[in-house]
This record gives sequence, structure tokens and C-alpha cells, in this order.
Amino acid sequence: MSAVATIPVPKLDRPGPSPDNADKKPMMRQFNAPVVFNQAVSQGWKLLAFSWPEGLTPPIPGQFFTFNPQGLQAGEAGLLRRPLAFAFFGRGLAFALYQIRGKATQALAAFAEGGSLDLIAPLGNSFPQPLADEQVFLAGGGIGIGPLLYLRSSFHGVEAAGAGAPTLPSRAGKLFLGFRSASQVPSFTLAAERWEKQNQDANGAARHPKPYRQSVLAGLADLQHCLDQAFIATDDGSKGFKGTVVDALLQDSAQTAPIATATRIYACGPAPMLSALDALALERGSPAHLSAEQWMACGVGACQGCVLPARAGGYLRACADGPVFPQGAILWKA
Amino acid sequence: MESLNREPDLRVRIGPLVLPNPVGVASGTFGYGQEYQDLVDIDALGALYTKAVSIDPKSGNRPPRLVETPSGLINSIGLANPGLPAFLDEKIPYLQSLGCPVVVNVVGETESEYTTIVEAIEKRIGVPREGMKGPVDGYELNLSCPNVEKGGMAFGTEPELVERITRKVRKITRRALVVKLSPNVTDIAQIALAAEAGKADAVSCINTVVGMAIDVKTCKPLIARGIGGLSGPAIRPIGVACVWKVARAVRIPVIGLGGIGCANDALEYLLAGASAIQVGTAIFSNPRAPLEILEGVKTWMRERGVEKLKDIPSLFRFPS
Repeated sequence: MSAVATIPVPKLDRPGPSPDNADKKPMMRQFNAPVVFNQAVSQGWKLLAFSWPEGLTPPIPGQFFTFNPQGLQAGEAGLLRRPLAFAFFGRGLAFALYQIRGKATQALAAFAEGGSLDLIAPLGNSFPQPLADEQVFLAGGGIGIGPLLYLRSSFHGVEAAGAGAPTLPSRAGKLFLGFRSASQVPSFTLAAERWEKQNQDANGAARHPKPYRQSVLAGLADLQHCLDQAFIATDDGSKGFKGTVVDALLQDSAQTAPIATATRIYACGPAPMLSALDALALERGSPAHLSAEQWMACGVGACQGCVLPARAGGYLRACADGPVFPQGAILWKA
Repeated sequence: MESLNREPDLRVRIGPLVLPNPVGVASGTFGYGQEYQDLVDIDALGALYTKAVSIDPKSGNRPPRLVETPSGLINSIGLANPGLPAFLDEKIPYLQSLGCPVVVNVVGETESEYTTIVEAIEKRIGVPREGMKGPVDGYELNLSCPNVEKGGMAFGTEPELVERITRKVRKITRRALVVKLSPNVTDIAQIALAAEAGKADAVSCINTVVGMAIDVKTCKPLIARGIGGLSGPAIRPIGVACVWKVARAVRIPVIGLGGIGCANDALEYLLAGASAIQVGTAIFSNPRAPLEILEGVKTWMRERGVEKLKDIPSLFRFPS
């Protein structure tokens, strides 16, 4: 097999799940997580950060956790846990972006920093890392941008470099993020400033430092750094490209055509968006990894409640077979 | 009342099977155990009632399959399961490794499917040996699922059919035989009596209550199949009343379930006449609930000086 030596062997950027070992799941645990940050980042969106238990495998991009909407009674939609995707992990803190939509997210939004939240994590499979010679497209729609920010940060060791890291090479992946309007686009910098002000007394002097202050601020800076690299699309055109994130991606790739290198698509967002990207990936022969959102009861694969129709027939569980599915696996409800 | 210094006796006898404690996990909420092995000390449970097993694999109903309602959950899973051959080859080895009693929930579309499934499992695992825990320690006949067209509830509403199916299965197993009852009947006690006449070792009640929820924006039902099975705290009073009625009607043990989320809920069922209980929907929100409930029941017994679990129903102060 001497011919093999002449073919460049694709290498993984860094150790982590590859397309081959994405199914190996670390152990999950139920634990009480101290909430260190729970602040607004845009209109109706908040960012949560909590400290990660020692000895538990950190989450990887694409994975999620479920939280118990404490403070809600069963009679007011407090019966089931709710799933949220990880938006970042670094320096012992896990971050999640969420939109205040119903009673459970209202309860989470009202949850005070310093309290402990009942969580089960890490859950689900993950985005496989790209191969070194691939052109990578990442697309996030609405609150689905969270896992894409985390994935993007994982490509480059943002955690180590922090804000102000050198400009990333193009193969780092083009990140396309879609929002309803500009008011939805998060600002992690403003959130950090507001949070810091809460830490000062009337004279501007610093009070007792918040726990994990440096780690929170560094995480926010890393998130902002990723967001700043993104190509923004808004439905109403109030910021960036006017149109959907799929339109933005199509327009960009038309400009850079012909695509000489192999491409790989990653996405999380509403079903019509995933459906369009699934079809696009098929057309181009690109591998794609699409993360689904679905109502869940158990979140661990037992109840079969969160299924999506599989193209091959039958159903797949969003929680345990996903949430990340390869191109062609799901019949998306467009 | 004198408090108890020693550990109360929590054992429950279900025919040939002795459960180490009364708290089981309900069928359909715990898979075949593996899914929860990281989160729950399964060996400490009183019993694991598996997800239903049918002859052929079932992919289940089309989604959405779940909707949360006030204090409740409507599900329409449609008995999704890998089917009998996969159960025998893939699930039995894992169940063998568990330290708690395992009761396999069995569902069929015809009468003969119930016997075919139990026969196949019996053939695979052999005759029960005295004092040995097998991979399977009993069967729970699901004659009461509201989420399939054929089988399930269609059988559970006819006393003659319930008796006949129970009797047929009884002839092929010496392991514990439980019949799961539906609350969606005119007189649940009649169905329980039919199971007893068919020589069941126990009845479990209640299965889910038929329910429906509608989205007034889209004017569509919130689950794809329209109606589903309601579980959770919303149905607890129905379950407690059913257990009370059934326990007065039959001599075999009654296993109570429906909306049990804490020790007091379990005690309601035990006072109403249940010999054991199952925790279902509450596991979704708190996988630790079954073992927390067990601790709570023990504490209640110790504080009140109740030595044996089976003495609890006699403490119910209500003229019967």
C-alpha cells in the first residue's frame, strides 16, 4: 500500500469527536449547578452561565442539558424539564443562550445568580469536527445560534487565545447567523458592562467580587469574538444582509464559486432552515450536520417522545439519536 | 404512636415474587433501564417495569407525541419498541445484570400475541429457580394502552377477554403475572375481578386517562393523533380512587400508579389499599424521585412506628 503515502491524510484539528466516534457519549449526571451569570443579551434573549462539576466530562458542541424549571408548580407548566443547548464552555463554566418564550423560560429568566439550578448534562450527540482540508459553513438561525457559536469557538482554541486573538484563517469556517431583526442580535460586551456595573456601589467602587468574575468576563469576550466574525442576516434587513441565513449563505457561496475544496455544513435553527440546508448539502454533495429542536420529556432516550420522522422510515429521537443529524437522515417539516 | 428504631419491613409479595421495596418505575417511562443507568441506582428500585414489548418492532405514532397540560402530560407514543427478537437478544443480557426485580410489560394486537411473547421469553430464560433473580421476574400485561388502534385498551375494557388472556398467559409462566388496568372503563373493579379470575398475581392501576388538548391558534390538536394518554399529578385523584375501589373488590395485591411524585403521593395510594406503587411521569422531571419516595415512605413508617409496609392500608381511617 505504498500509494497511500502520496495521498495527504486529513487530520483532525484537535482531539475530539470525529465523524467516526461521535456516538461515544460521556456519562451524564444530575447535579445542582451554581448559576453565576443570568443576564439579558438582546431583546428577549438571555445568557446563562453555571459552574461545571468537577469530574464530569465537559460538554462538546452540539450537546445540551435539561433544567428543572424550579419555582414553577406542575400546574403552571412546571412538570417537565426543558432542554437548552450549550453555547460555550471554558474555564470551568458552561454557557447557554435562551429566548424567553413560555413559562419555563420566564422562570429561568427570573432565576437569581447565586442560586442552584437542577440540571442533567451532558446530553445528546455532538457536531463532528471538520477535516483539516474542508471549507466549513456554519449556519445558525434564531436562538439556534448558540451551538454554532460554541462549535466555532472550538475550532480555534478561542478559550486559550481569548479576545483579540489573531485574525482567523478562512478555513476556520464561515459563520452565518440569522435573526428576526437587529434588536435580537446579542451583545455580550454590553451584557458584560451591565453586569460589571451591578458589581459597583453608587460611588463606582468595586464591591465584593462576584464568584467566577474573571471566567464569566473571559467567556463573554470569547462569545463576542466569535459573534464578531459572523456574517449577520436579518429578516427585516435592520442589520446586515436582508433575508434568511440560507439566502445569505447561498449568495456568499455564489460569489466565491466555483468551490474547489470540499465543504462541510453545520446548522441549528428552525425546521424550514434545516430543510433548505439539507437539500443544499445533498445538491452539492457536502456532508452536513443539522441540529434539531424538539419538545422533550425525559431527554435521555427513554420516553420516545421527542422523535422526528426519519427519511429511511420510522423515527429518530432528537435527544438520544440526535440532536445533531447527518444530511439526509430526517424528513424536515419545511 | 411509638417511633420505630429499626428499619421497617418494606417487602412486598406479588405471587411468587418478593419485591425488596414497594417503589417501582412505571412502564414506558424508564425504557429498558439502560437509558437511566447513569442517573439512577437501578439496583435499589423495588421493581423495573419495562417499556412494552410487542412481537414486531413498532416505530410508534407520528409526532408531536407529547404535550404538557396543567399538572399533566399527554403522550401518544404508540408503544414504540424494538420488537420481541431484539428484546430477547439485546435487552435481556442487560436486564440480567440488574439487581432489582424486572417485570416485562407485554402488549399484543391479538390474544395469541400475548402468549407468543411470554412463551418466547420463557423459552429464552428457562424455568425460574428458587431464590434466583432472573433477567425477567414477571410480566405485566398491557391491556389498557389508549394509543394504539388494535390491542391494548380494546382488550382491557372487556372482562371476558381480560380473564381469557390472563388465563392463557398464566398457563405458560410461573413468574409473577400482573394485569395493568385502564381507568377508561365504566367499572374498573369488574375488570380487576376478571384478572383475578384468570389467576393474575396482581393488578396495576391506573394506565393513562384518555385526554386531548387543542391549540386554538392553529385549531389543531396539540398531539398528532388527536387523543392521547394523560399522566402526571392531574390524574392522581383518579388513580387513588381506582385503587381504593379495586382493593376492596379483589384479594390479590394492587399496584398503584398515576401521578406519584413524592412520598405523600405514594402514601395516599398505600393507604387506599395499594401493596406497591410505580413512579412514572415524575421520573422525567426528577430521575431521583423513585428513591426519594422510598426514603420518604420509610421515614413516615419510622415516625409512626409502622413495622411492616403491608400494615399501611389498615391505618386508613375511613368506614368501608
